[in-house]
Amino acid sequence: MEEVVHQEVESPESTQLPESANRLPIWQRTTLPVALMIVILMASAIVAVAYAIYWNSADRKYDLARGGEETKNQALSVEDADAADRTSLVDAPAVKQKMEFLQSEISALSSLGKFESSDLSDQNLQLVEPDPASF
Amino acid sequence: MRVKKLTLLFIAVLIVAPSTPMFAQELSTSGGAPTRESIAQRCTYAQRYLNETLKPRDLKARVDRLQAYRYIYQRLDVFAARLERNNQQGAAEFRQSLDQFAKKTEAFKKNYEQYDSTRDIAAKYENCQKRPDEFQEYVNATRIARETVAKDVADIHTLLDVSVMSQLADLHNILLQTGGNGS
Repeated sequence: MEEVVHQEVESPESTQLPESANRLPIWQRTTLPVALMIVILMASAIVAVAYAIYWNSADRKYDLARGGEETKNQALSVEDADAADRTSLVDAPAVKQKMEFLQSEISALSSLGKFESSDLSDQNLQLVEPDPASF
Repeated sequence: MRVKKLTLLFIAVLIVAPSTPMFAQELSTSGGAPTRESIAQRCTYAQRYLNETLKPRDLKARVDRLQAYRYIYQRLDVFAARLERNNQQGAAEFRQSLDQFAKKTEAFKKNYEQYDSTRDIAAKYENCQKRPDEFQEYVNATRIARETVAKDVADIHTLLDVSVMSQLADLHNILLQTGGNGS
């Protein structure tokens, strides 16, 4: 009879967490899978916000890298030895070096598109039949 | 005799053929200005060219040029700061040219954006087959906007290749003559 009473008293306690567990701070009660889930959700939220900012940017249409195109700009690979020197006295060799740098840049710029008007000719727009002489 | 007849027939065909409707159509649209009919027939080709060929090409040129202009500006700005800090000859003129360069770069950026939206209007105009005249106007507006961008590019080239380069050459000569700082 005593055993039965003992069991009836213990059974409700076994379904609840010990009182000491409730007093633990939340980061000590969090299990690893829940923590991972929280991290993944936060990372997804950051990515979503970043992408929304990118998508709504007016400069998005000028983004070449997103289109998967390789952007190899020769003008950016011209080296300048005095790129960070803002203080030392300018002498003749330094000016000569700067002239060579500028000449290399001008040459590199010449290889880039110049927005020529012939690109919008009637022939290129195909508004006229191709010139038979061009075949 | 038979050969002579055949030769005459061949010459006659050569003379008469261009006046037939089939050839007349081709002549009206090749070489000279496009007719209203040819624009209506072929405007979709033009729109495809604007969208799929010209737009990516222009975009790459725009991005590459702006990157290059800013890269050059940064380097020359550091050089101008050196001249200014040491009170060297030609510093003020060099700074003035750099300011012009910055202004022209901004003008290029702004005018490209104007051209880009004008070209997009022509490329996305839906009634080009029904209203070829309007389409032609949009194309002409695109041409004018493109010429402005081309002029900006040419102006920047002249500024760098003539003004800035000659200033550097003058400074170089002065420094060689003075054998020192040229201040």
